[in-house]
Formats: sequence, C-alpha cells, structure tokens
Amino acid sequence: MRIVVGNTEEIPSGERKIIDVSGRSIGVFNVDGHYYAVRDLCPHHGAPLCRGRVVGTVLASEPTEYVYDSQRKVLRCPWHGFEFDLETGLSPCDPRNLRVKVYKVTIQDDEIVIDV
Amino acid sequence: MTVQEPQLDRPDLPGQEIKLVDCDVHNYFVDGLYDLAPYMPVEWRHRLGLEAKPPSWMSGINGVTFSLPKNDLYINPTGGLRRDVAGDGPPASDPVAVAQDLLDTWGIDRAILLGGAMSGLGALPQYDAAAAVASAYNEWIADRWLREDKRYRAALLIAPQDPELAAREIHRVAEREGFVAIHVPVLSTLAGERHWYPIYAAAEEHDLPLMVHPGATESIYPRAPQMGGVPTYYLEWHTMLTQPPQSNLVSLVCHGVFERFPRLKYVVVESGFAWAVDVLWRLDRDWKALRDEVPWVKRSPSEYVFEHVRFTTQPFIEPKRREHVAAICEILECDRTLLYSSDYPHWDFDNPKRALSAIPKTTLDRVFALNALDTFGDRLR
Repeated sequence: MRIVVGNTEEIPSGERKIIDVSGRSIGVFNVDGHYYAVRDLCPHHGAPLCRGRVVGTVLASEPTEYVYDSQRKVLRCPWHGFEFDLETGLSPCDPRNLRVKVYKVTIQDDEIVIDV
Repeated sequence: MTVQEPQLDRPDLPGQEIKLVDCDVHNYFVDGLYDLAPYMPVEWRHRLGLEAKPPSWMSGINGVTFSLPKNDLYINPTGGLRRDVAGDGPPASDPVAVAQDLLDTWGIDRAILLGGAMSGLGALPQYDAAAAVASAYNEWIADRWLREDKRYRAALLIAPQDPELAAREIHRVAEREGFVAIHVPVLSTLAGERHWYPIYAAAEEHDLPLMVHPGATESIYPRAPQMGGVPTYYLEWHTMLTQPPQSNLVSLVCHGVFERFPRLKYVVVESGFAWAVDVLWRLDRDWKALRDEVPWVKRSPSEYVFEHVRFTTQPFIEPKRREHVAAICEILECDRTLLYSSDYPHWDFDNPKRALSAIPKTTLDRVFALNALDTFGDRLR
C-alpha cells in the first residue's frame, strides 16, 4: 500500500514526522536529504522508538580503539538507548533477532511516499 | 525549625482497588538543592551556600558550590534519563506531569518516591549537613509531591552516617501521612553491623520497611560501598552495582539482624535479584558446616531472606529462554519476595506491560501489587 506522507517541504533536513497508518505509528525522517521510514515501536519493550535521537554509530573495533561513523545513521530508543540502523532496521548487537520494521521511501513529484 | 504539618487535601480516586504499585520512582528537583532551601533552617542555608544562587561559572569549579555525592566518573553515553519524559524542566521534576506521564499511562495505583538525587547522601563526609538535607527533603516531598496526588507515597529519607540522628528523623516523620518506608542511602558499613541498629530499632518501632537503593557513589567516594576493584567503563560499573547488595544480604543474615529485629523488612531496590540464587545456595550450604561461628543464625539463611527481604524488579532480567525467568521466580519464592518497580525516569525504565511478561501469571499478580501491600501495609491504601 502506497502512503503519501506529504510534501518534502513538510520534513526539512534533521526533522521527522510521525504518521498514523491504520493505527500503526510510523516515523518518517529526513537525514541530510535522505528519507527513512521506521515503525514507531521498539521491538525490545514497545517504546515509541521514533521519539529517539538520530545519531552516528560507534563501529566494532579493536580493544582501546574507538571508531565513530557519523555517516551511518542509527535511531536510538528513547528508553533504553538500543540502536537501530535507519537503512535496515537491524540492531548492531543482535541483527539476526532484533530489528525494527523499516519501509521503503520514494520521492515522487516532491511528495514523500512510503510503501507499507 | 518549626515543623510544618502538611495539609493533605488530595482528591480520592475512583475505585480503591490497588492493582499496580510502582516501588521505585525518582522525583527530581527543578533547581537542584535550591528547592530545599525554604525547608531548611537559615544556618544550613548559609553553610551549604543556598542563600542566593552563585553565577553559573562557579558550579564548574571544584569545592565552590555544594552538591550531593553522585556519579561523575562513569558516563552513560546515552544519558542517564529517558529522552521522552513529559513536562517542562528537568525530567520528573513536576508532580503533575509525572502523574500523567507515568501513573496515568501505565495505570499505576501507587508510586513510592525515592528522591532521584538523594541515594548518594550517605557518602557525604559531614554528617550534620547530610542530616539537615534529609530533614529538608522530607518536608519538601510532603509539601511538593504528596499533596499533589493521592497515588504518591514517599520513602522517608535519612542520613545514615550518624545512626542516632537518623533514628531521630525517623521518629520525627514516620507517622505523617504519605510516608510508607525509609529510604536508606548506602554506606560502606555493611548492613549487618551494629552501626545500623538504632535505625533498625526505629524502623521496627514504626513498622516501616527499609528501602536500600544503589547510591551511584559506589567505588567513587570513600564512604560509599566499594566494589571489587575500580571499574573502568560505565557498563562494568552499572552491571556490578549489584555487588554491595550481595554483601549486605549475607551480612544481615550472618549478624543475626532478623533475630534481633524480628519485624524488620528490608527492600533491596534496583539491585537485581537473580544473583540471590547463587548467593543463597552458597550461604545455605556453608551455614550447615559453619553455623557454630554464628550460632544466632538458627534457621537456614534463605528462610530469613525470604521472610524479611524483598527485591524490586527493575532492571529486569532478559534471558534468551523465557522459561528461565519462571525458574528463578520459583527458586527465589518471588510470589512473596518480588515487587514491581519502573525506575522512572531513568534510562533503564521497565514498563509493566512488557518487561515482566515472562513471569508466570499468578506470580505476576503478586509482583504487581499484593507483595507490595503485604510489605508496606495499610499505609499504601
């Protein structure tokens, strides 16, 4: 099902819009001109995930080394801080078992459209 | 100072049945300890520098402004508080907003408030200052929180450094409306030691359970409990905050505290509970061989613990197999020993609908309310 979220001007870079699709809450994010849509429900304890911060992520590395990837964006749950990759919805800790639903976003004639 | 008797004119709730009791909610100040200044004698306002606010740059300079001992070393990269907590100002600083955001949202009938900035009070070296802060806090919470909503209850705060002063504070406040327990900040002195007995005697006299919560001072301040070694990372420190409670539990039993104070109730708050499986198995076994060292321990150690000690749920265990939760609940007799807590508004908050879903249904009813009602009694009603 195609859902028109709104005009691209409605979600400036760095902003988000949370929409209701038949009772399902979905967050639509504009991160530096890239759009993402994520189910607004943390698979851990059911928190409103899309109220969390969009940030870069620390990559797995060797002991004592910190590598911060500011390009790869994760959404961090506002309750327990769990991370979910905005592209894939996967948790970096447990990608096989812990993931949030993400939806494909396209821009058609300045309109943001998601496939639900 | 003159004692203000709070006039409680809280509205009655429709339906008096209590189905959900949250045993660990942290309320915060709007403006730090300045919130307490009106409830303090002028001498202590002066001593603690709370008469007038200093310029903001001063707060970053060591030893110029007063603050309570707290964790300044182990930094949680996600921040210590939930990011979505409602209300203006610091999270959980507005009693009306907390009632809506926490109590209304989750259907919580009673919430026991343990001051968010207060658990580290025991690490303060100046005993009289700590006692003055505790007294002011008890006045403040009665005035600012208890009268706002009938669902709030408070744990009476003591400064345990001087047990005689602490007992005096218990006697002063214990019978006031809304206070259901005693919030005991942690010390390095283990819970079975004689230092504590004046506090235990006062608690028993007023039939108030003790609630002991980590201080966030552990292994940071010399008077706070010390862990085995100095952790490096927040993850280590936070995980191992359960070490001192284990030592306290064993100390309580071995010193015969529950023989000396047979009506004492001791609530281990936000410190885990599954560790008690191993600790009690070991203690029960060793006691059979070594009971002649502590002959006042007349029964199996776990019997004392199941009778007198209660644990709160948060942060709850999340084993890969859900049935392991049921096994631990059975071993630790959680149908009488476990009390629900959310730890609102902290980052590791547990919501009651989801976090405890692996607990068997009959036990869960007890965890949500009945065990709390047994522990705190009519003061919760």
